[in-house]
Amino acid sequence: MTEPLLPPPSGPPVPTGAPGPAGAGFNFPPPSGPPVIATQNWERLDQRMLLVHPVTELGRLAIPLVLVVLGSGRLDLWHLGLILVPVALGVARYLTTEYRITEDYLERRSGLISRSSVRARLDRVRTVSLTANPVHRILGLSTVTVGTGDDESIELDALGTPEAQELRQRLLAVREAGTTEDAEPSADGATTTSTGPGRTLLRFDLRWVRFAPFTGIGLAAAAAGLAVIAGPFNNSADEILESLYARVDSVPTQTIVVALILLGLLGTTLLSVLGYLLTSWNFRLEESADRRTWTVSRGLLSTTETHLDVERLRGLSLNRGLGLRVAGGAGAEVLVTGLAAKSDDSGGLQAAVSPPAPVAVVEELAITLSGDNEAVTAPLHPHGPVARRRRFFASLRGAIIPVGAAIVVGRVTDQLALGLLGAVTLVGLALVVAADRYRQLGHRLTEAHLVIAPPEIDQRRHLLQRDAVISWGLRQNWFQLRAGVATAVPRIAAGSKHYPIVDVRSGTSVALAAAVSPELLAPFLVSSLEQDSLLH
Amino acid sequence: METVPEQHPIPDLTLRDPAHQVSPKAVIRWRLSAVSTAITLVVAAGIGAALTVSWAWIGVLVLAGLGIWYVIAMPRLRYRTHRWEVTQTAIYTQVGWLGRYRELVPISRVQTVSSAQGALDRALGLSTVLISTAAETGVEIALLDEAVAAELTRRLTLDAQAHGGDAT
Repeated sequence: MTEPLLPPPSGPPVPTGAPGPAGAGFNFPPPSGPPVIATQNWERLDQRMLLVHPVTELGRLAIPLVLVVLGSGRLDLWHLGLILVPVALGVARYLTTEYRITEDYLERRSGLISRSSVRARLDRVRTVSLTANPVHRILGLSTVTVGTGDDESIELDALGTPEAQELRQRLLAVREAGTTEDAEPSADGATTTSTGPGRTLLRFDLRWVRFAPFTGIGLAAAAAGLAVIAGPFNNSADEILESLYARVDSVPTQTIVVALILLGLLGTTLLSVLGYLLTSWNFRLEESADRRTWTVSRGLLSTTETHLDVERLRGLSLNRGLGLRVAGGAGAEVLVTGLAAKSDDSGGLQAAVSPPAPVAVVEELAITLSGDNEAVTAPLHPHGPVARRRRFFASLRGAIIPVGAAIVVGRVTDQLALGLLGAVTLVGLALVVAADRYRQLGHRLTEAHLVIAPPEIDQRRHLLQRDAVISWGLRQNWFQLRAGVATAVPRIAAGSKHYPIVDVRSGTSVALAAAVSPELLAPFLVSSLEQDSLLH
Repeated sequence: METVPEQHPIPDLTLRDPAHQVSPKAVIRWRLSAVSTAITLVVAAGIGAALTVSWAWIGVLVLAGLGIWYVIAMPRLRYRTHRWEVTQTAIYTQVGWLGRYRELVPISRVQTVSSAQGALDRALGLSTVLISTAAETGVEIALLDEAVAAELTRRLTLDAQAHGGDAT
């Protein structure tokens, strides 16, 4: 069957080669324009890496080396010669890693035996981060990580810190010069004033440390700590008790148990506080003087500086995990193209613009960054009784296995009453969780943003810029179809990429999509006359 | 950040189905996949039942019954639901057999257009058009006639290039 194909193109031709962010047919402004960074020739990284690389290689080869020595049973002179291997490798790595900046590209090539090179278009640079671990800081070095779109990045490990900062400013300036629509970039190109410091949006306050034990990491550390305490205690309880009894005859067991638990809690609280301080010390969020770049800097031993291009901002996320909800705290992240929100360990903190902090502070910051008071603070529309019903069903479904396990365990250990009690408690917990999830679920459409709150105990509020929404998914499984609800999924090119609006009435889901993306939906909408005659 | 009851300010709207169906040969393709899935499951269940209690065979029979229903009904339901439509500015797809999953993508934000064809597809003369944007990589118009798919790919590539830009 031959389908009628696309209608012939009609209407005004679409303009091509328009100036703007990187794309096909884009031309750099005439030679008097952008700054010439050009190293043109291949350059090596900072000489101090001659100190760093051998040590890193030695660390990598340490275990095999030790095994070799142990295997031969004694320490020969030639064993010491083996240490020269990682040193040589480190030196070789330094000698063979080079980078170059041409008029259009940043390139890096490396490798001793097989050369590999990566390069990025200068006009596709989106973020430039400087990081420095303790060794780097001692030596005065910084690693430059240049992020382009598509989750790719080039790392230059490492340059001297002043050179790294200058490179960062020049890269950002080139990107700016390439993206401004006016024909006049700043006269002296790689100027420091346009990306220099402007106003400070958020500054670390030591009192925020009180939220540390309540964050996800804090709670996980506490749980792990308790498990660690309980583990060996269970296994070798008798031995520990005996040795303790030998010393402290008169102290009853319960006191010891309580003391150990308290010690465990104290230890894990301390750990979470330390972790918080390490990562968030001196947290600062600054806006550049020309209001085009935000800079996040944080860290106690390792400092991280991340530069975010305001132009790439697509939205914000406010997060309150269960612990933070209890403690009155919150955290905020920006959704920027080129950064993935918490998708991998190393990139996990990069999108955050605030550490866990008081709700009021974070909300005010969100209002400043988004410019939308209503989106941050106004209440959200609930999704209705069908959504509530589905939350309960989902929760109870999830509880089936634990409840079954509780009953089975109760029967097997002859403690049926206890098992049933456990089962009932689990069911009650499931109901409470479902009710809370429904309460969190909601959405709202403001003038500038689409606000979405998913049905989760970790309270989240996602603010998506309305014109950042690229495409829509309107999804209904069999149950949703029969119940007349749908899950609308707006998709943006930042953060988690898709933000489902769960179990909203199907008419509302279409209406929302049409309100946010009118030209996209318009050809496919049905007038109210036709609506009545449709089966679904 | 709490929710309060409020009259929803936006009046309801309805979306119609996309205009075109996929190739009728897709039914054959789906049926073949369904048969292979069903046979695999029933055989696995049968092996499991042979190793355990005797009344497990009832489960295998039930599974076989479900499998037969699946092979007969699923491809037909799918053919009714799977639809697509491409205009000057948008790509609209609908897939599913028990559920209904729709995607709307503006051509101006499309970054790559390609087509794919498994061995079985090639034998049946079918092809799938794949589209990605900056926000997602998985939009596809599956199992069209080869000629239709080729023409669509060509046209979409031209349209996407004409719009230009960074597409994020």
